[in-house]
Amino acid sequence: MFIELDLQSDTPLYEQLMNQLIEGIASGALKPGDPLPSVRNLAENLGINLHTVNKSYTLLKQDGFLQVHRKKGVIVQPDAMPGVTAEFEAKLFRQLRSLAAEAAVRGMTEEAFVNQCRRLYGELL
Amino acid sequence: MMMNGTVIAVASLYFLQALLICVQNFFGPRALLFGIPIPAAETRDPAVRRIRAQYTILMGIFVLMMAAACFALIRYLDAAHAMAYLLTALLAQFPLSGLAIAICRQSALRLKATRGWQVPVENRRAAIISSRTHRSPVLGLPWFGAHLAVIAVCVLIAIVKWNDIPVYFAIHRYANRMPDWYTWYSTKSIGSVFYENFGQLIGTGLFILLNLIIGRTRTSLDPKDPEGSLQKQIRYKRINSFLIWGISLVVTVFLGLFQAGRLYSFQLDLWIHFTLVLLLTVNLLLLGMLIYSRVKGLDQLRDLSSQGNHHWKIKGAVYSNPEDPAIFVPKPYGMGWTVNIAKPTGRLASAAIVGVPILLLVWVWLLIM
Repeated sequence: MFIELDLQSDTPLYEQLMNQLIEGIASGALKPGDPLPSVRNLAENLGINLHTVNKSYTLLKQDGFLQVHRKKGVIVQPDAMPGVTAEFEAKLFRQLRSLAAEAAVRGMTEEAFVNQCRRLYGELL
Repeated sequence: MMMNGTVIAVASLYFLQALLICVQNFFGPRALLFGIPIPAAETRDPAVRRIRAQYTILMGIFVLMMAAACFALIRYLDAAHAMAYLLTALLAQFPLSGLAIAICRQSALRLKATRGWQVPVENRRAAIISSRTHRSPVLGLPWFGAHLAVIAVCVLIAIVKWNDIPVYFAIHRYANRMPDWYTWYSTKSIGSVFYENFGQLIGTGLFILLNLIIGRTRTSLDPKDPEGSLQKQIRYKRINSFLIWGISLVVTVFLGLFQAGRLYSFQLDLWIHFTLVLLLTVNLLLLGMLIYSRVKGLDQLRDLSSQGNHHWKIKGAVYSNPEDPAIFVPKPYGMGWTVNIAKPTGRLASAAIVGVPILLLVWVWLLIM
């Protein structure tokens, strides 16, 4: 699996990296227990700061998507993935609400909005 | 006075290495002219070709001038002394190449200003995150078991034939095969008998380190074709790894032959010539690798993270980028990798790269004095 970062994007690099790793797990490109490159190795290959990669890994570890293994280094969570927590629901609600509002203002129908959500969800799995 | 054969061997080696250095600018990414990005449509521009040829001409002049000076010095010397001068001349080709590159880079910058070239900077970066389906870019440690086997055979033979080894033995012979007892002899001891084996072990260790470094160099992928560029990078690194492995095995075997020649009066008294054959073999392998990489297009990958001109200091000779965590990055011209001297480890590696050949040269000079 490859990741691609856009240095000019408004989305911070650590967030782009986190999003793509989660997408990789959702699509099955990254399987439970798969080793990830070390912070240094990934930062060197991308030519970005070590702290950026470290921040992404740390946040994903805190959320329960990654685990630090004594021998293998950073790996994809080999046990159960984090469930739907109250924090996640709050984040989902917040982000969807603003997107739904913008879609409504732009004249997008409810059906079209829901269809887009359904299509994206289906594509990831 | 050196024999004709030695002169021919010395000259062949000198010119073969010079040829390798002179043509290096014809390898590497075509979209870079001595590190200066040029539009893809302009790579075959006559002015671009002229600057590439300028480097070869400049280096050709430097090489011929040094060859003339070197020949004048070594023509009446024995092979050992000639070897020391030859090593000096071989190493001097590198700073001279740096000077030629600096001159050509200035020409490239002037051409860029005249033509007003604006090459868009790639702001995307790609990397592989899961390498389950890709093989390792370098050979594993077990491959170096062949070296250890050669060393073990050499040591075993020395142990078995210990009683046959004379108490005094010559380590250098003249061209007429008479031993040189005045300056080049040893007395039998563990240090003198197993001298080459220590060298073999140290050499193998250094080549293993080099192999590991190749594995650690940045894998810079093209965001437009990450899979294709990854495959090319893996192949490129693997070829280099094979080359390192092959060269180190040849060196190990040659050291074993020197040991045999020294200890058992094996007819290898002209081992200086064998050194020349060894160095010639290494250069031929390097030339073969360059041509193969070019034919397969493995040399056309650009390193996106080091593309900014302002990161290349001292007329483009040195890469210094504190924001880049990589220590070993691909060179913008020729082939191979260079060091990011903004990092402490990079500075240490640079000191070793420059210091080791100088120390080797000093050691050779002290040995023959």
